[in-house]
Amino acid sequence: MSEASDFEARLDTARRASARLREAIGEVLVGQDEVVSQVLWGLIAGGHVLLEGAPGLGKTLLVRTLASCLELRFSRIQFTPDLMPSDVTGTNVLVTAADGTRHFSLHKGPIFGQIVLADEINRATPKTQSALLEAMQEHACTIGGVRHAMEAPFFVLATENPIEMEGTYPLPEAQLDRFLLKVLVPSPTEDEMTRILARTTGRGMGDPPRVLARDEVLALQQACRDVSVAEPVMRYAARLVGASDPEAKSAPPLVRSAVRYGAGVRGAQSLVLAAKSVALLEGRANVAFADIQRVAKPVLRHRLIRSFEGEADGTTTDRVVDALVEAVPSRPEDVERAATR
Amino acid sequence: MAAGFEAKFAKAASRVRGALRLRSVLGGLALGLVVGAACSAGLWYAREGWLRPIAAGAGALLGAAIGAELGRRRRFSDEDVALYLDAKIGADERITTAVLVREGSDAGGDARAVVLDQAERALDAASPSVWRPRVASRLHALLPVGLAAAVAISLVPLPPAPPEPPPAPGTELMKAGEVPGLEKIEALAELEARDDAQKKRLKELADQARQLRERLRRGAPEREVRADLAKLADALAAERLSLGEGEERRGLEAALGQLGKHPSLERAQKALGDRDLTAFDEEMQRLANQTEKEAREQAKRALEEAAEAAEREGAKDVAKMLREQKKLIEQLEKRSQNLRELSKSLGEGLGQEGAKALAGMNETGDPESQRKLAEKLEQALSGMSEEQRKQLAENMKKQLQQQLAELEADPDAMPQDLEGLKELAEKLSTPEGMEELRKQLEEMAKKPPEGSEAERQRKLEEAERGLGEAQRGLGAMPMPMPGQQGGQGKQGGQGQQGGQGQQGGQGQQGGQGQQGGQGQQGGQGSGKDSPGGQGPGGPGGDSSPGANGKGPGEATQKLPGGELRAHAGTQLLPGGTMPGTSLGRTSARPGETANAQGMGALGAAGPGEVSGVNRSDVPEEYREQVGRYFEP
Repeated sequence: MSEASDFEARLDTARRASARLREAIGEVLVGQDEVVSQVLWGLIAGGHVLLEGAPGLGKTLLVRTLASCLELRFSRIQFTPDLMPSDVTGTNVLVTAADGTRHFSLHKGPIFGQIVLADEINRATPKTQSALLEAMQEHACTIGGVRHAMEAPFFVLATENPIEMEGTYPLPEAQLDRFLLKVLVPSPTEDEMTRILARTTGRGMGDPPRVLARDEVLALQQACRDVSVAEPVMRYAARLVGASDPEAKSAPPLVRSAVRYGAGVRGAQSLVLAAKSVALLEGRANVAFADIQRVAKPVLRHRLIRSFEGEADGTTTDRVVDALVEAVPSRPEDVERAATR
Repeated sequence: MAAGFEAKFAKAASRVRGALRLRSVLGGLALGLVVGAACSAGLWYAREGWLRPIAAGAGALLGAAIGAELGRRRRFSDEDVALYLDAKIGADERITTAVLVREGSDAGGDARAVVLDQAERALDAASPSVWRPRVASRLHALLPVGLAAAVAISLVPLPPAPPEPPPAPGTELMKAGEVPGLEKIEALAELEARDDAQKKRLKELADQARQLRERLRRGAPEREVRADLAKLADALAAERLSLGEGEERRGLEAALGQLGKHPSLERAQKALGDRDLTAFDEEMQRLANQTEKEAREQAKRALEEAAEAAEREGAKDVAKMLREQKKLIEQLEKRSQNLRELSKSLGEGLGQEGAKALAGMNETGDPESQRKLAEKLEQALSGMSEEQRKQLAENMKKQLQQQLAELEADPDAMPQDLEGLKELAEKLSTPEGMEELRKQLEEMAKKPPEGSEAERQRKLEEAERGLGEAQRGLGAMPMPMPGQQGGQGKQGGQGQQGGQGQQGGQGQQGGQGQQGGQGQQGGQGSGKDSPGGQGPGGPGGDSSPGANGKGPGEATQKLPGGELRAHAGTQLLPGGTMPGTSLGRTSARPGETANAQGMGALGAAGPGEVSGVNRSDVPEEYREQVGRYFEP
């Protein structure tokens, strides 16, 4: 098989897998197509996703459904203020063997799952939240001085509730930065609500079908990495991230006024990775400017730290990202002028 | 697959780049045409008709060139072309990615082949009409506009000349259809010049006069006209005094020094020192008419020595003039000898007046006497019968034989004397020869020959008189010039407004010359050129203090000027000096200056004092007199 047909086949597989996953999730979850897409981008890009939405919008259901559709080990951590780091990572416990000898044995915590649902992550203390840090970034966890690697794929889906902020611990910037995407879960429309009511107030539904095996997920992640990105597209991503710095010359006025800190290198990497997953799921072997623009909000919204003025004005980071996309040209000026004539 | 994409992309890129370049050139051409048309409009306004199409064409060419250069500088790279094609086709940067992962590039990895394939398909699927850049732009709309404007502006007739700006309040306009006198200045353009520089200056003078005439015809502010007249007067005076000026000054001084060694050439020296070449010429005629051969030879030697001295000091023009004068003396010498011989042969037939003229010529060498003698001889020959002519011819032959006999006895006799006699005898032997001789005499009676410098000076003086005439015609008071004011000299002088010289001539404004200052060396007057008077008048000598014809000791006359508020009534002491002035001339060398009365040695003089008058504030018209006063 030639190179072209091999990669073409992988692209086709990805496209079909994506369709199957959507279909399977759609059997359980009503609506939320864009949320599902973004969660899939995170999965395929090998990143982690932070889901933010009001209670009852199906965040947990989405994660559980996704876990059911994939032949992956699922674990759930319900974050509470009294949750301890060892509750997340696990701990060594003293075990008495049959012959009466005693030794410490690792009792792995829920972090050792392949799809980890960190529910209401902002309810735990920062100390416990940070227990996730190493695992999310390094795909490994050190317990009792011993480093334990996570089994691939390792996909953390955290949820947080933007209301009921009393008694919560907002995630520190360093931890936020480790999430590839922050997905906002919108309220369902009237039609969707009607369908949800019809589906959930009757008899209980069965489990969704298994759609993708572990190896297939890993293959998808590998194919995502193989997607080509042209230098102008990477430059565009870099310019977007650069312009998010309020000190940058290219920063639009809204960034200057409403942003205290812009996105960093990890933000630019996330833009390209997420755009690659978009291209892959659409069956393309290359990334387009439009892909970057499409993933800009979920990638950048949690990486922009608003200034006091921005917060006071109620400027959302989504608005800032919109301003960035509008202000930063994707193509050189001459080309843009020639193309728009 | 890569090759297929490569070829298709190269073709598309070539078309994209060509179209963009053409658009740039056309844009530059359009802008250039508009700018050129604007320049043409400016030229039309400035009435530079023939430059209009050139400006428009040059603007268009320049614009096209700038457009081409801009197009070259903005030439799209492969990446730019790919981005452009992606944008036009909507290929989601497939072509851009393909261009960057082409063969030879390590980028792309596993996806490279698929990327190239997808890009090729995208190129194939899109019609060239979708991605081909539009050559025409809004800017190009200026092309026909600019072209039409350039053509129209190039063809439209030039606007009429704007009306002259109204004169400033209080300005009086002077207008004159004909200005008599200026034509004499214009005639200077035809005058044979000393050198190229003088020819140029003379031509400029003539041009200025012509332009002044034109301006007067249209009407010009009076102040400007007067200023122009004054400038012309300055320039004419400077030209008249140009011989021996500047670098030739030392040469002139040296020549004057040489001439001064010969008492008989004192007056010639004075005339040359005054740069009065007409007087110098007349003095040369007087010398040539002298009967003593030795005196004539001495004069010629003196002239040669003076010429050599001038040449040594680098005054070539002065030397040339002196040598010319020497030749003139030789010609005149022969002529006067012939006149004498002819008079002698005629004997009683010459008449009383002729005899008197002959005597005058022999005594003083006076050119006027010579002229009169020629006139009388011509009259005598005209009234001669055939018999008398033969008799005269016979007499001449006898005279010739007698002279030959004397020559044998005296070897020092000059051969040309005999040549002239022989020539006369031959002419008189035939009626045709006598007629020719008569015509020659008639010519001699009219005008004596003169040197080229003298002729130039005469023409310049005529031009100055013409200027004075023009000034009077325009109601201005002419500036005083040498030879214009009245006064009586021994030999008269050429006067414009002149008093009455010896030979009469009533000046227009001058007083009676006889009551004027008694000049020592006045010039020869001639009433013909004097528009102000009928007869010759002239300035008094250089020591004549009389103005307007009044001598010392008399009150000045009332002047008819309406503007005059007062006039001087002071009794001037004849011969007395004014306080603070010095009189007399002292022997001195060039570079010295007279600063005390009667002092022989003048001491050292600063280099700035030599010819200092030429750099002083003294008006040009008076410099000559002032300079002469201080010169040794």
